[in-house]
Amino acid sequence: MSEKILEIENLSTSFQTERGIMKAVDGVSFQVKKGEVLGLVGESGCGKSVTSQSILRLYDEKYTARYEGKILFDGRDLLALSEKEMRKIRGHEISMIFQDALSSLNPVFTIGNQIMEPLLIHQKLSKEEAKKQATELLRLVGIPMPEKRAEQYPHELSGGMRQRVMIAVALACRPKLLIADEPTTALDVTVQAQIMDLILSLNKKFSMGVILITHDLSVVAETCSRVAVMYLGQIVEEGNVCEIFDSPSHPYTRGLIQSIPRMTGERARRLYMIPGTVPLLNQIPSGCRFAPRCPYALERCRKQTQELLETGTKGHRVRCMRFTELEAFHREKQADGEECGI
Amino acid sequence: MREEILRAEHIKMYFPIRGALGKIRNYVKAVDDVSLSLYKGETYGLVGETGCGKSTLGRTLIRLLKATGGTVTYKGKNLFTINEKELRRLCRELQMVFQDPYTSLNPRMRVGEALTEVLKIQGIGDKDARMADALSVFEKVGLLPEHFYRFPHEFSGGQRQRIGLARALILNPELIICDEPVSALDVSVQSQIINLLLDMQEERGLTYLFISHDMSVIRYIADRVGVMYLGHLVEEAPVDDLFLSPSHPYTQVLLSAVPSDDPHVRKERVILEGDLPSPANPPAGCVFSTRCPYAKQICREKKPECTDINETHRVYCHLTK
Repeated sequence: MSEKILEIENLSTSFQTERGIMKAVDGVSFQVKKGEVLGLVGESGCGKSVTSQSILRLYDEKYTARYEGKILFDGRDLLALSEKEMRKIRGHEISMIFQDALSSLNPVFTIGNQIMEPLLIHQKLSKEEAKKQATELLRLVGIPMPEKRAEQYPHELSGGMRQRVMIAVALACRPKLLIADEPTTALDVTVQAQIMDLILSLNKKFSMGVILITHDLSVVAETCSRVAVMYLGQIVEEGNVCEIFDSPSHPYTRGLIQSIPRMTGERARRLYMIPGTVPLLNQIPSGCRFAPRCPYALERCRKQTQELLETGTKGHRVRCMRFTELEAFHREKQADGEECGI
Repeated sequence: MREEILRAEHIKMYFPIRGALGKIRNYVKAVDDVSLSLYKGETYGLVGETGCGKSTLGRTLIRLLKATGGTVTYKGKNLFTINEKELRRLCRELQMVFQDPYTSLNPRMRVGEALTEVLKIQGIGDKDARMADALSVFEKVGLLPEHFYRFPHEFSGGQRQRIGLARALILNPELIICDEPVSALDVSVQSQIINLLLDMQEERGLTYLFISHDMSVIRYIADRVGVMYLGHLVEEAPVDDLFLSPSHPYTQVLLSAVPSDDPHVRKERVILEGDLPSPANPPAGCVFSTRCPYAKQICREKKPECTDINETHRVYCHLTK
């Protein structure tokens, strides 16, 4: 039932740059089960995209990128595979959709052609067979008149349509895992609703695992079953989506959730702010990486590093040495607030 | 009654589509017959999807674009007919903050210079006075004096947006058109900028026209909201009215598409069929009729008139009773 399809252990990705070695992902571990939607959230530059692209080993390993750790997919360690074996996995067993569909689709090939490509390469179908399936896939992702659309080029479609085409390409070989990197960030809310609905219905239909990378917490609240929050290349909190939203344990998660303007309930006079900005990767603070921006940081937070630990609730992990104190503190505050009728 | 500072009537902005030999074949009707008023000290939220004409409207209102038709009255003066000289003086009171702080700042100009330049063009003060002015605004928006001689690329996105805001504030404007000022920013930085905008409003009694596609930001910052679709204003109401009892089917769809921020509530959504029609060839009758779940015969034939639900809530829909 709850079969793990992806298990990442202590993944680190570093890049050789002019300014030295930058560790964009530092010791990330998480799992994705079959049919599960995992949300990976954080601000720009926190390493969520690097993590996802490392799973497919999309960075140039020869010159710049270095991976460490283990990425177990169906029992195989992806980091130990040869480039040739890796190519059989990309687009076949693990697929990825990107934020910008226009730059991810090839402008000089028709849409039909691009959907056929993985079918021809991975499934070794005949051309006619692939063409038939491509039309079927276009229909599956909800594109009207698929026969006609298959003959068109990416620039002839709207943003939402292009995103659907990219999903069709990604799903062509029925992957076991779909990585969606900010799939709706460039889209309008009504189109976003269409695309998220599509991803969710396909996730149920084929029970594939989905890693949804986004900076939009409301999208996560609406679609994911589990969430991992990243800050500066590390996971700072991970758990069930309801738990994370109801009682966030890490001050960063709490800050993120409080800074979204609410769609319901009272409007506060001022929005909650997390002070400062995300530091650069070559200026990672010592001790807890969030300490300089954390309103609850103590001296020891700035000195000691903290591991990601279980909170007691199953599957809920947090990287904060004060989380038990803070939990009690917030519970008290909440209780006080309720008594005052706030 | 509150003081009306800007009144726009029947604004039209058509962009010509030219064929061979520059012959005009058709028009893109980016803004088509929009009327609205802005009152002193309020924030008017203009919301809608990509391509609905909200930014074009914002630019047209302060004559950054020359409108095809309509009038804008600012403090009793018709903005579209006054001469260049008068317009330049009025520019002091009408400022704009753009979405993309990366492209709206000159990359080869130090940010301090970009600020003093504004004063120089307006002929305000001597060099030292301009400098002092610029520095004080600089600190107001939360930047440090040592940032004054830096170049735009040395700042983060949030800081650049602060510079954009400082540049608008330096002339002590009355009205600032904020065109998606927080859309390119992360949530934590977004909340910093929104709070800054609110602080400045409180301090100086500013009026904002806040253009955004993000309903939750609009709900937070705006006092009144106008919803646009395909160049038309379809509904206008005070913010709570609009979010609690949206009248126009498009507003309802838009609100239902916004993901809920509570994981316990996974709401049933009205999913809109199809794509936005082309503004060069808008549907006859109501512009939303091609995608409206309730469309009747009359909607496809006749343009809806403005219906007042109450004094402050108006909607353009045939089906409003």
